[in-house]
Amino acid sequence: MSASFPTDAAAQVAQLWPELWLAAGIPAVLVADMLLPTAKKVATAWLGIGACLAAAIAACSGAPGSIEGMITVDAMTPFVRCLIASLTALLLVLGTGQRALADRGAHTVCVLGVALGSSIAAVSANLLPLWLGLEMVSLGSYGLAAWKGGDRRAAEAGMKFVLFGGLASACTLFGMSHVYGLTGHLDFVGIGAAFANMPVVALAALGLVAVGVAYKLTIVPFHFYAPDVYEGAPALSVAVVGLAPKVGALVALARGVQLAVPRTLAGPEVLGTALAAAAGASLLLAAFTALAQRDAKRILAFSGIGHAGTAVLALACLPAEGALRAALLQVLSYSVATLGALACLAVVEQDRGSCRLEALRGLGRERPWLAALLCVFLFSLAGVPPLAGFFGKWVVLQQALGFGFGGARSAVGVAALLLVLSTALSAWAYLLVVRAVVLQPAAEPARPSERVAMPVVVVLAICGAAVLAIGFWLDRCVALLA
Amino acid sequence: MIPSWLPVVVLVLPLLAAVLVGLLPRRSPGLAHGLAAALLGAGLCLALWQATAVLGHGQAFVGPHATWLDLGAFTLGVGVYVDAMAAIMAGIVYLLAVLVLLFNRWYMHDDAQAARFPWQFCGFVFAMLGVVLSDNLFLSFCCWELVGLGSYLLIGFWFAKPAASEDPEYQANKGQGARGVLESSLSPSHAQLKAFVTNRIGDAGFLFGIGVFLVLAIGLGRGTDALGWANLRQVVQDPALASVSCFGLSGHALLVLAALGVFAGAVGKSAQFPLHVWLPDAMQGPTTASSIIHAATMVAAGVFLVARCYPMFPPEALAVVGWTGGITCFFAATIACVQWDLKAVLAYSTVSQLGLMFVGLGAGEAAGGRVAGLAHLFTHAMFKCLLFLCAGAVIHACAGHQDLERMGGLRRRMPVVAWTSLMAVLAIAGAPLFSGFFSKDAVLAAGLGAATAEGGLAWGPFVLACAGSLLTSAYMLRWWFSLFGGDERDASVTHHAHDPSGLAKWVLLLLAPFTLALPWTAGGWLEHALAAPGAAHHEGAHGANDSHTLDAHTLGMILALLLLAVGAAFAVAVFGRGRRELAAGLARRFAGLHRCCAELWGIDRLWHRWFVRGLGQRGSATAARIDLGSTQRLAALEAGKPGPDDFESLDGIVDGVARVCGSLGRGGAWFHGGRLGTYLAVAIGIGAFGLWWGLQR
Amino acid sequence: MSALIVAPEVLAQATPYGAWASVAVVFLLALAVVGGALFVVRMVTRVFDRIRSPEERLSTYECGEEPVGTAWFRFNNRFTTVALAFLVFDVELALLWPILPRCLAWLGEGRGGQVFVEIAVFAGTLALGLAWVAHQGGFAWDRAVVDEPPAGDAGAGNRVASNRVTGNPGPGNPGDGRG
Repeated sequence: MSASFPTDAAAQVAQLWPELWLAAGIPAVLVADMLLPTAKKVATAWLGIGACLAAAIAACSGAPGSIEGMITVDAMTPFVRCLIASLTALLLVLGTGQRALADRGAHTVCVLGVALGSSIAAVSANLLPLWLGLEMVSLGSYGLAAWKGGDRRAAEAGMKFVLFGGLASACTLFGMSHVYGLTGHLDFVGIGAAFANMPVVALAALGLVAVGVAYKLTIVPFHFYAPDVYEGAPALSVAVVGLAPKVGALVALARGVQLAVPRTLAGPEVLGTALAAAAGASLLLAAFTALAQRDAKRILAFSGIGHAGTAVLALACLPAEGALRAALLQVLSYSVATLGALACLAVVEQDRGSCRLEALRGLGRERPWLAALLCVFLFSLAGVPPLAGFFGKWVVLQQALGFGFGGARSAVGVAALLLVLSTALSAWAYLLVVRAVVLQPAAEPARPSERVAMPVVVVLAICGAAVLAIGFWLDRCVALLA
Repeated sequence: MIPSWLPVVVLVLPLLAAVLVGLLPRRSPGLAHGLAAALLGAGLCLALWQATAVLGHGQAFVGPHATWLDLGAFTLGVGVYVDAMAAIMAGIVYLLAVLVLLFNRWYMHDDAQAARFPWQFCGFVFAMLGVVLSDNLFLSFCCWELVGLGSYLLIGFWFAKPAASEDPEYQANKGQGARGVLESSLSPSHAQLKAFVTNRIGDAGFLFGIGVFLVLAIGLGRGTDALGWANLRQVVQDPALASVSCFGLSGHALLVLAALGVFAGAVGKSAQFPLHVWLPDAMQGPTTASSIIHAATMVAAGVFLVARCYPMFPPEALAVVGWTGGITCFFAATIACVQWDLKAVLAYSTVSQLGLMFVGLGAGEAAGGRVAGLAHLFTHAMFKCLLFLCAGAVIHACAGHQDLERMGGLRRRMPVVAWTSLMAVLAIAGAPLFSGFFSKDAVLAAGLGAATAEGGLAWGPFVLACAGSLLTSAYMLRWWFSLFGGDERDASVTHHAHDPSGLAKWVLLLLAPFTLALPWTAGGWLEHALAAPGAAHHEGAHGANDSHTLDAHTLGMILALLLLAVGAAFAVAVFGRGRRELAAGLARRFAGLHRCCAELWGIDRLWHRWFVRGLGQRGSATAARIDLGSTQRLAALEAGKPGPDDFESLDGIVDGVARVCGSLGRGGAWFHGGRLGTYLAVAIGIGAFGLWWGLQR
Repeated sequence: MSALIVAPEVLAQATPYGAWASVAVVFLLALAVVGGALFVVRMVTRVFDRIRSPEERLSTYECGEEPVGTAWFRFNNRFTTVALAFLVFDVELALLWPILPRCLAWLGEGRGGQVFVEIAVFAGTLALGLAWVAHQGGFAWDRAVVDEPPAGDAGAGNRVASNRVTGNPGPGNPGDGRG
């Protein structure tokens, strides 16, 4: 930190192009929001989409490098940034299809802010940018969760989000202050080096930092807000809050596990056991509790908890070759399928005002294509073979089972078995939705439904194609992640 | 040599026909029959080309072969293998298929469903050709099952027909001798099921046999194309076979088991005792379907398979084959004597004749048994097909009546049918100059040869076969005289009768010459062709016993003539002379025996009691107990209530697991009920536990 | 209390948990202070309690006014936007201070342009945000209370989403039964 600002500032700033594009999008949207008449506010969303696409393109050409130990661009960064930017672009496209979206300009700003925060968290190699990223995500998310004006559920969701988010942030900051106090470092590498000479107990400070990340990832026991927020918030906001931040937080966790934890402890014996325990708890809780849910978005919330557990299980194998790749493939397949499912649910929400299972009945008759796509996405999440979700789970399982069941490493293996068990169990929860959509007749006669808006169709098509393509071109996808 | 594509085309042409014809619209049965017959006709030409080529060359043709499954330890393949018997059989299958199809066009001209027949028929023919031309036991089994499927479809062709007990027409017209038949289960839909299930029993044995052959092949390190004919022959001849052991059984014992397993399949397919019960019921299908099932396809498959696996059959297994054949031959003949239904007589005669073939096969290669059995298979195919077509013509002409007692004098109304069927009857009875004489004489000679060579128990099949032959000439002539001889007994049944018209008549006329001995014996081509392939190692034995078998041959011929003479004399005396009361007197005189025969020796009832009611119903109750749970549970479930926990049944276990998971889920959901205090407490609790746990380490 | 204030090095040697013990000490101190304060207040009020009736003690306290009903309903929080905007600028201004030494060093290196651009971008972004809030009507003081429809893009111009009164002063929003 003592070094002066580098002379080749331009070269270092160039590594931040994707984040800069996203950041530039925010004031642009603000200006447009002020200048445009009400009827044309939708253009702000297109501005945001432009910023996201520019960020995605810029992300693809990022060369590995580092800025002062603050920001690290490594092999996986292009994919992660690209994924975050593309997901955000798709979300904004989805938003343009919602005619009744309130305060569109502010909405776009919040979405861009969440994307920017996720992206920063994903590239941070230092506690400060990590904190900055997490907080940017939080602030945008809080607003988005309560975006349905006048809806008490949405307001409640936002409130719970804020309360728990505040607690998690406090924990993280508390942990950060201890880390800094103990080691005198904020950058991951320095922290890792300093902790190597300290008793294991000191890692509890890092554990406190991890609370904030676990909160974003919805890892047990920091997942409690998720079902309420998913249920109360509009589907579009759920997609914003639940996808890109998870990618960012997962990558931040991976980087922290790789760099900030001393090499002596980072193996599957110590850290792996802790991560596997968290993963196993998330998997089990998600699988069992989802069975008792009667709201499609709540089921998706528990699905998110379970999938986060799966991704963390991959990180538990981390020094192993391919563990990170497995986690990324998992999160990729999860985000694509969940985005698609939430896009479908957004349409349902507009039609019927709710995503409870009773409200979903008869969808197959009313909107057969939408229902079919929803089922495809749910099957992908359930891990049905030709679809993306199966491969996401499969690569993680492959990784985790590679450790076997001997001695101190057995936790990872046990968690892998839990993954299998929970996959089987949670399929039931997804099938509850499929049953309501396909098999059960609507309570009231079918209403004349208006056509699904073009942007929604586009997003659904892209997600559906991706869910199929990831399965068919698995080797290409794995190669992309390298 | 023949081009390598030829057998493949011969094999798949009927399949192509089935697909093409199946795609035709339902309304055009004529087009469907025409197209199918044209394609099968083309196939017939190719099959004849193939047969002449293979027979001329005197050597088996090993066709294309592709590996289908490669498991390292063994491979299974798909391919064709044409030797003399396969070539002849393929030719016969094609010839009869074309003729039966042409005949069927006339037979079904007023049936609305007629367009369904050709494609099912072609599929059936394809399956049979698969059994005939396959180059390994595995492919044979696959096609064997397809044969079963084809028979299922054809037997149930009129699946909507009610059971005999509920069919007023049947009840009004059934004859005096209609006993022993379970009328409540006598319908096409029952019959097709019966045929299929009965065959499954045999197929279980077949599969077991295949498994044992696989064990032997792998155990001897001959896993490549493990079930191919050539490979299996080598397995059997392998000197290391004696050292193989599995489950405490020696290699030879395993071989006997494997052969008996394969033979069990043949027992089912070829309707041998005690699995013969399906064949008489199969009469519920169209008579044209019966004619192909009884002649060239279904029942022939079993005999053909045993002949195909002949090198793999040790003497012990052949003894079982012979005894089974002998028993079937005799007891089916006794039943045929007293049947009132004209098709049932033919059905039991088929069972009896198939038994005769197995007697031949059981005699062993040295006694010429294999050649005799196959020869009888071929000749029988021809005259039995003709008999059934004639029966179909009669039934059609008499508006569906099948009672022998009410027919008579039809020779004047339908001369073509009468005289062609007389030729077939003479053939099956074994009259000189007819084909049956030649082949039956060969079978009896083989049986006699084997009996004199081995003595003791080996006389059994031969004696039974002789008794069966004696009865055959009697009941077949009874059949003919009852239908065509004498005067009209019931004009209301027969007064509309007339010969089939057009092509159908020509079909009968075309088949008739094949009932003569000349086409089969000319130059001894059949014996020569069949004896040649793969018989090198038997040559010595054959040569040594030559004089002996020649002796047996003469004896067999004399014996066959004697049996024919006695049986025929009786039939002519009683039925030909219109002295039917003599037969009735005999039936009264031997009432017990007559009743026994009329009741089908009680075997159908036994099957029904043990298998359908015993194993089936009690078994399904047990299965329901294991599957669904106790009766209380079932009652609760049917009432729409959740049943009591029952972890002794599959369904109960599933339900119990689901209930436990559901409770766990509801418990978990309680924690997520929206109460922030709970959230915080749980989060802090788990966090504190994690911290404590971490600090312990 | 002084006995608890021990140098971390000493603690690290004295306890099995090493440096982590300092965290525990902080926690314990915090618990002790808060708990002690609560205890003291409780004792004091018990001693000096002049209000005997529980209804009166549990009623809403309002200085100089007779309270009407409970306080469990939604308020018109028209001050929030202003407060938030103020908070943002307050915090951002604090964030300007740390970069000052670095900027001075740059000025010394003759990189004044860079300094200008950095601060201009920062302040410009803030100003833009300020303008946006103003455009949204965040600083308009005396506004009519809009009871807006639950959905619709209608009031994008002159309205702040949270600025409303509902006619439903029910008790809070405890978690609705789920699951």
